[in-house]
Amino acid sequence: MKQLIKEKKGEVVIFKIDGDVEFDDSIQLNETFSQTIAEGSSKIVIDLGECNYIDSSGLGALVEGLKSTQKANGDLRLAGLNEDFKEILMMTRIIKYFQIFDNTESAVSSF
Amino acid sequence: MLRKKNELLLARKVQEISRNYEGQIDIRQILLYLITCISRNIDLENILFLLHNLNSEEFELKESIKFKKRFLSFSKNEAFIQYFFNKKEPLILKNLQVAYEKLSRSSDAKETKVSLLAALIASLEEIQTEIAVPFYVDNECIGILCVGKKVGKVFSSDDLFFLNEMAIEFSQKIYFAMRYEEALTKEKEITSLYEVGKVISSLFDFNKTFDIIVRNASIILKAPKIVVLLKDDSDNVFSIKKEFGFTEFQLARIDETPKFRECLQLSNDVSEGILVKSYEDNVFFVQSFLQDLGVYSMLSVPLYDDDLNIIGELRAMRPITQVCFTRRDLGIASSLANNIVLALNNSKRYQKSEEHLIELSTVYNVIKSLTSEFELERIMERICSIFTEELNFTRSILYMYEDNRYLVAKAASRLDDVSIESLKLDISRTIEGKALIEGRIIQMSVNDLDDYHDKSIVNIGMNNFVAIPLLLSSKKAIGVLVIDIGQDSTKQTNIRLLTAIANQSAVILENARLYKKSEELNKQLRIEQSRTAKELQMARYIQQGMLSADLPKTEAVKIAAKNIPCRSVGGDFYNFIERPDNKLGIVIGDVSGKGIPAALLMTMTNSIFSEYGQRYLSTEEVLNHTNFALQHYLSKSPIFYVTAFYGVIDIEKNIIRYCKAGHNPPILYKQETNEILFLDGEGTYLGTFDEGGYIEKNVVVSKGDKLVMYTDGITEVRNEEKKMFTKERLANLVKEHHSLPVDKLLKILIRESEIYGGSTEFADDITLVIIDFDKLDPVEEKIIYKVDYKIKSTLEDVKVVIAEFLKKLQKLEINKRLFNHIRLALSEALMNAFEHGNKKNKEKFVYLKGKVTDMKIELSVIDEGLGFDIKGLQFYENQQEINHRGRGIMAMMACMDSVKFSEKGNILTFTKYII
Repeated sequence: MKQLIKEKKGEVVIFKIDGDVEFDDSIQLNETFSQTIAEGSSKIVIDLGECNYIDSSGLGALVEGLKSTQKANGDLRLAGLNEDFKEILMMTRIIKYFQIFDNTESAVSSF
Repeated sequence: MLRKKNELLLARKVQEISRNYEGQIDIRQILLYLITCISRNIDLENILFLLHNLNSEEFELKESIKFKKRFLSFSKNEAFIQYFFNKKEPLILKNLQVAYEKLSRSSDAKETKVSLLAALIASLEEIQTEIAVPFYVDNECIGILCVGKKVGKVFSSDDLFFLNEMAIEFSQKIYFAMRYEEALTKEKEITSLYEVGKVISSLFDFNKTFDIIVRNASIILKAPKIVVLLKDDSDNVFSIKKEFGFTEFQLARIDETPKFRECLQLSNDVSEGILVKSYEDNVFFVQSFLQDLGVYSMLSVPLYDDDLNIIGELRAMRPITQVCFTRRDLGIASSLANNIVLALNNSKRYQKSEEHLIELSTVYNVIKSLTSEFELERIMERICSIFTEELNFTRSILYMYEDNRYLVAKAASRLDDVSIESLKLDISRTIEGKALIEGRIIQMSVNDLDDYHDKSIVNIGMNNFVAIPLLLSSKKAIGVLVIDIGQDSTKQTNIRLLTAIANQSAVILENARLYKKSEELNKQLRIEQSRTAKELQMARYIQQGMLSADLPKTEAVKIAAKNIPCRSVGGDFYNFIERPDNKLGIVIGDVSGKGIPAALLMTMTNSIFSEYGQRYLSTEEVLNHTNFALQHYLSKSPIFYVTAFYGVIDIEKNIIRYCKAGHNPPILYKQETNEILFLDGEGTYLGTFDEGGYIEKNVVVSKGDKLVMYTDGITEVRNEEKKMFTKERLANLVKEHHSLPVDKLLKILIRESEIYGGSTEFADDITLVIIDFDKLDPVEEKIIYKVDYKIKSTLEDVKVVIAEFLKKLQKLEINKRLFNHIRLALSEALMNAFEHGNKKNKEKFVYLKGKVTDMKIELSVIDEGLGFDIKGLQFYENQQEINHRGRGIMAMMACMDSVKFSEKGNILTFTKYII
């Protein structure tokens, strides 16, 4: 993962993941999500437009983020997934847990 | 949607039950069939049927199963019955009890409502009923089906739906049977009355009795000549009723002598009898007259009725050759007179009964003649002609009640110059309508018709007429008979006879009408059935033709295929697709449902596969496009979906590429190793979800291998203990008989499933396709490079190896998706080994060994840990509580062609074909 860019739109926080998620990237994701929720933002959108690959630990971080935001009455929603990414979600059978949007705008406005 | 599917099935089942009734039009038979069928479908503690008895107006227990009482009836006034006069919905005890609890606790509940609920509950409990379903015909409740507790269970909404459907389906049948029974009873009643009347009349025939009395009087009184006079009730005039012993000449003389025909007692004001010993005593008649009659001595006694009024006279006469009458003879005559009065009284009674008998016999004959007709039109004509031909009325017209507003003329007799087609009477504006509405006979002269706007009766040219409503025993009027009684407005008509005939006619008409209606329905049904049967036959022919079209002939493989639909047509399919690249595509599938809808869906799916199988080369693409096309055609209905397995056989590279859409995994028997592989894979059934998640997989085949594709029809065959045949049993049979030619293997598999299920009839469609890889040449595989790494259990070292491996792999220019899959599998496997196998213990190593060939990448990841239990993974998957490492393994299984763990669990080998 090259970069994790944070942006705020109203009460929704957008994280843009730049580059593939692998190995210990999940640790950074986990910490970022916990911190965001601790700061009082529980509505998160992940922009996956620039991400082609994610391993299972990265997916684990997404699922953890989903659980924590929902516990805080928020949600974690995915936007801009490409086909390969979508396939990984499907193969790991976690696609059903997430709300998925074509782009960040529609994900943000869905809250 | 799922409910609707259930309801569709239930409704079809009810139709089937109704069609399968083969008994007669007999109310008991039908009811017994009805409740038996219901208790066969729902396990009930008891069930009974209360039928509306049209005569007693009560609802009586007619048929029951497991119900303690044999006799039971409810009057119309009871709340339980009353309820169904207002509402057509079933009564459900549980709901009533809940409502009662609620109401009785609330303070402002109406007392009447509470007591009504209590009464309903009490009635239902009395007859051990949980659900009472009313049967309706034309808004009239004809019976109530009372269903007891469901054994060990509560009623589902499906049960209720089923009961309601049964009620709708059987109401008309039951009503028809009721009517039929009513007609039979009526006919029986009248027949027996008529027969009894005939017997009585032979015993009490006055004329015969009178004859005997007169003869006896003649003997007892030793008088060869006897006369009996009687007073006529209507005009108080006496006349001779019986004379005995006179010649023609003497009778003529009597005729000329009015005095002889008068009552001697009255004209001479005596009451104790008259004795004329000889001519000398005679003060009554001219002597020459007596001489002409040959009478010398004569006696006469009065006949008294119960009130001591003289109603007649017995006169006995002797000729000159006999001794004269004495006082004693007068006494004898007096007692004889008493006997004559008795006989007379009998005769009067008899006369009345004889009139009644004539009525009865008329009605009897009418019914006889009507019941011999079956056609409604002929019966109507016959009714009209009875009034003119047998009862001698001038003309008659029969109107039937139609459209809730009109009386329409259907038949007429002697109505020569009027066409009955034009006779349509508004019931609110005509006298005929009044007779219908009020249900009573109206006799009238047309001059008194002022109150009615519509006087079509005048146009017909009737002056005096009788309008008789045709009433069924339920008091429902179905029509009106109008009878012309001619010019005489005071003419007496026998209302009782007319009513009787009209009522009988009504019953017979109604029966004929119901019969006609049911005949028409049956006829229509028969036409439809035979058409459907023909169409089904055609469909089967087409479908089987499509399935059994010539199997592709190849040198390399031998194919056998069989489809046995459980109905005429089925929902299973298979197809061979000869692709432009000379590879053979094979699809096997199963569409949801059975019968015609399934067959249509199957045909559609099959042709989509034919088309897409040639257009798209990868199996994934074929399934994705088929999924999309089916979704489009089926509007994503959850009722219709298709499972399929699609494979492409590449006999140059000895590989099968395949993709699965929720279908049963085909069995691949590997001869080399004598093992069975189930060709499983990712992907849900076609036609419902946007993303099917189809991922192509590959498997290598070699000479002697067998691929057995099937549908769930065979693996779900159940034995006596309801246990399924299973794919494992099928696979073992394949293994056992693998050396047989494909045709024989196929026969054996089918026979084995028949033996297992104990029947040659299958509950579902059965399809088998077997491919024998008979003549495959071995393919040479070139190793591009070998892989052998020994990695320290640190994240950095693992990262380095993965990066290195991938960099080398990139040079092979495999596609990005495939590359990503390998990357995922490799990193999941290595991370797993490092994190979980070696628990990040830096002293331990992870080994990556294997090879990259021109066909495949095959890698093994070995750790130095304790291993793990693969079964645990499956357990967690089922529990949906899977951690992300578990997910990683699942993802590997989804995207690699093969993933294997060593027995201990610390060697993981995965393969991906890259050709």
